[in-house]
Amino acid sequence: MRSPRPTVPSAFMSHPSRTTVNRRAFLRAAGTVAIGLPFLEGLPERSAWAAGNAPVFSMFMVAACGVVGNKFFPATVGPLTQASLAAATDKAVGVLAAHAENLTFIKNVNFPLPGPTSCGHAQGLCQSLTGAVPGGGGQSSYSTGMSADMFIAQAVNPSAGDPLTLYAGAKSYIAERISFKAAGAGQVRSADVNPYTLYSKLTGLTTTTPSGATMTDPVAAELVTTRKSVNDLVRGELTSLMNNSALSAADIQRLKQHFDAIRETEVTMATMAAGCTKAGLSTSQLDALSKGFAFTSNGMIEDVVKLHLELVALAFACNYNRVATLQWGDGTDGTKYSVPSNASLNWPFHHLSHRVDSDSASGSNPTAEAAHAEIDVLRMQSLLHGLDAFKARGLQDKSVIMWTNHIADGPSHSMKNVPHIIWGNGGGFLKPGQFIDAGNVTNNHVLNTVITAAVRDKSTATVDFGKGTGNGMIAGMLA
Amino acid sequence: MKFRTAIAGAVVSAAGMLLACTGVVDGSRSGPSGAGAGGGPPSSGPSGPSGPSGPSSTAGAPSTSGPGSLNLDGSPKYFRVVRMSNAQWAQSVQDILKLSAPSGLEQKFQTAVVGTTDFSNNELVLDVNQESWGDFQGAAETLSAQVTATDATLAKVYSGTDAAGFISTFGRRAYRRPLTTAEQAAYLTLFNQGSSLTGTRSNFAKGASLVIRAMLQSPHFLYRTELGARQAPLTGYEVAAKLSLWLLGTTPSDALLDSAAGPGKLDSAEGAAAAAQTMLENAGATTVMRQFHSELLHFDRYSQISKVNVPTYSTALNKEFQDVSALFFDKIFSKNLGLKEILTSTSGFVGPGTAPLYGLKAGTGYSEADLGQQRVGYFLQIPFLALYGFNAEPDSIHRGVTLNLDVLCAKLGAPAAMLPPIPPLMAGQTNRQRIDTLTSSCGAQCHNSMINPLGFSFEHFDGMGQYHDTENGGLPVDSTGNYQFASGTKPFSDAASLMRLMADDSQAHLCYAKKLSSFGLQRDLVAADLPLLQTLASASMASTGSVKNVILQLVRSDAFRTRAGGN
Repeated sequence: MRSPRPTVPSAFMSHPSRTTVNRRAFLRAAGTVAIGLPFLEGLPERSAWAAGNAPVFSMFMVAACGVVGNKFFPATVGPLTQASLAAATDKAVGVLAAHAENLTFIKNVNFPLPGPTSCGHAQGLCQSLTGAVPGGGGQSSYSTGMSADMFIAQAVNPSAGDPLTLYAGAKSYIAERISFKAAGAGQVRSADVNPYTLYSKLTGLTTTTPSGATMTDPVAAELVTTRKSVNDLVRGELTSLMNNSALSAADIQRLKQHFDAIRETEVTMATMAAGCTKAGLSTSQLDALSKGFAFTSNGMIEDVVKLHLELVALAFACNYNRVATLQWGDGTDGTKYSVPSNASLNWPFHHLSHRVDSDSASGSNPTAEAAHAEIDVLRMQSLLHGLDAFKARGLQDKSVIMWTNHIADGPSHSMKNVPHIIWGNGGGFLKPGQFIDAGNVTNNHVLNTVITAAVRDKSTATVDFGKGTGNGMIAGMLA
Repeated sequence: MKFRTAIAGAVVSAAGMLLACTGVVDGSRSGPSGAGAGGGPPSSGPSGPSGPSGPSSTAGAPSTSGPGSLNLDGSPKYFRVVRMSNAQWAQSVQDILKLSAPSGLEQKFQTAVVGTTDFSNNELVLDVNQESWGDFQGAAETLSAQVTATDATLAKVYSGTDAAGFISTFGRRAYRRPLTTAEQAAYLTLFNQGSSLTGTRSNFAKGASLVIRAMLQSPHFLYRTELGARQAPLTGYEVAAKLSLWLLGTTPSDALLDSAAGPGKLDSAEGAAAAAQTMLENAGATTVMRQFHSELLHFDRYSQISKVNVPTYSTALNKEFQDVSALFFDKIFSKNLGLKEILTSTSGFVGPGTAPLYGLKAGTGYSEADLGQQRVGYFLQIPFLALYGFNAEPDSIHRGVTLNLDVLCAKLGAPAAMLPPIPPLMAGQTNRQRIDTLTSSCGAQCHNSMINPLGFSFEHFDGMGQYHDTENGGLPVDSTGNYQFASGTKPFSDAASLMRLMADDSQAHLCYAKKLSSFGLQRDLVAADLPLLQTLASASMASTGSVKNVILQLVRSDAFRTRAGGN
């Protein structure tokens, strides 16, 4: 299923000319519940929808603790139809039937390190989006390369802006481990666990009156007119600091990152998509998180996932950012899912995945396996919620959304045949509606394919990402 | 993870340890090039205290490899620009803006990456990226609008109405040093721009609003900096900021900044120590040190405890475990006590749920109590023992791992990948025998010589921390053992004797010194820091060896007061 490397003219890292700000058009598109002014101010231009090469938005989700392999994908590869998926009632992905024509299921994709040498969870996470064997061991595992989301963001986001980096889980043990700036310890990127964080950035300083109407804070207009002056002053101070000869290269890199962060928020906006509205957001749930966020391990994780996905769909529709990641559970996820088979066990998910009530051992408890299969269905229902949100904003032809797991299954912690799900045709580059066998390739081949789709409006260079076995894309995924 | 599960099962791995994915193993964090990667200090780097009150002797030098070694495999970068933590930011803005209550804005900030460094204030995880920039920018805009809403609210920040006076006064608080002439001029320009904006506020309020917004976003506010020459003493203002942000969790007061001006004051060892001594008596220092001990001993894990089929356990105990643990360490710090008391005090705190577990009468609130002679130190109190218990059974392995990593800073390798479960206890078998059988083939740096001996010392305490002399139908408990400390192999009869032994041995004091130094210096420690740690350990072992005295020794040291390490 492997194809030759794509060889097309390179335009990497070039940015299109800026288009004129069309704030009024945006406000019309946003409707009566307008997105707040701070968001308007910071809205990136990013070539946008009217450009000749339409942007492709990409998202990467990495779930925890494996799946029950024989109850996850359909039994045979081939075309996917709504009917065939709906009939697969004994498979977790059956709940995604409504999206069959936009889905690609991929089996026989391996991580470069195919099995754990110590605690496999951190090792799996570290290579899920890097396609590279991790360094270190146990909790201390680190990436030996940049992750795909960062690679894409540097190619397509203005000022090489960072991707949205989200998290659903307790962050109790083996937390952020999927998005990496570069190789080496200390390069992992922090992730937002509270959906309200992104929500507040998207909706800015809008406030809700007692009657329920949304209005803009009166100081917002002043902020818009003065923010550039403040930014200029801060930028000047950062430049002065960076010129201090006492600073190390690491210091300068740190300040440069700060400098770039300011620039990124300043990039002007372009024309907007019609989907850039609050419609479809679970605003009451999001507003409830404004006073604080206390994560609980009682299954709240799936609610958090759904909110994150709703917001990423909005962020994409508004061209706020073109890349996002979501780590879906801790490495040793402690969620106590309320699925029927767990009623008698009441084990945390990590233990269910081990089939024994232990963090460090593996067993064969059949009730635990049944519970894990039910959790897989629950997670696919959350994914369905997100895909519905993406589709409602018309993103199926402008996106490539990837779901995978940090290990293949719980008892073995194997990293062979790690399930991959792709949604969207990546701007017509991919051919969804099929279940394919990748032929035991390493996941850098999947990532090459996704990356190539995601950066096509900016670059047509050959993508040679990761450090797996061989290179190139997966031909079966291509249109 | 849920810590009831700390180890239901474990298995032997010839090369590695048990405990594949358990949340407590693997304390070392090594970079690709190992110790000192990223530019460690030179061999002539940080040395002991230079002040006249430094101790005359130092703790014995441990090896940094092999059993009994001190783990100094960090990867410091020695950043000269380290961002304030979210908590430091919150307290700083409350103080310089004279807010009557916390803003709470930091609760929505991006949090630092967790689990990759010993403490959340480590230099490696405190930078500004796009997410956090947006957080700081938005918060600056919110707060500036809030405090300049009226002239009356602004007067709480600055009582005058002159632009230059406002800029210099507020600027010094925000920058933690006086503004330069150029900075003063730049802010005056910004003030004038702000004051000319339309709106109902006074011109002074509008100008001040823009200045406050900018200063709260300035790198000179967001970062604590050390910009002097390598090996040179920090300036008085740099020391003031370093001390105040560390010990009080906030920006320096006006009075401290007054005292920082000019040479021979805070830039001297005794000047810095005198300022630190004053801070240590402030309630804010107790809060900061509570955070230190909470991160050191993972108090957050108490909220994750879950036990089944244990009649004496309820989830309500989780918060109480955390609270009484914090109160114990508050007392240790505020009453001028130290590691010896942490390890040997028989006094602790109880609440309505924990008191009966000690056989004490339950009250309505928290109170200090004599816990009895079996409860020697924090590690023999109910919270720790229940945390590292699997339901009602002792979790010998994690108890041993925790002492190795958090109390003795021993090197334990990464855990093995796949481990079969601990089998059920058989008739005629003790828990110790069960674990011994499972781990008998483990190598030297894991169970047999390092984890099990320490873990088995707790065998008298079950999974809820209840004392017993017999188990499994009357079998006698064996809690004896010996451990290869840096100073040599030493025997003990049970956990109580182990605690007393550690209180008198240098290794635990060296480890505590390492952890405290990592927290205070905001970086990983490496082998070149060993002389400093020996000095601090000696201070800790002395009859006056309080946490406060160790802190004062650290403040006096070159490592704290000079631009040591890196560029």
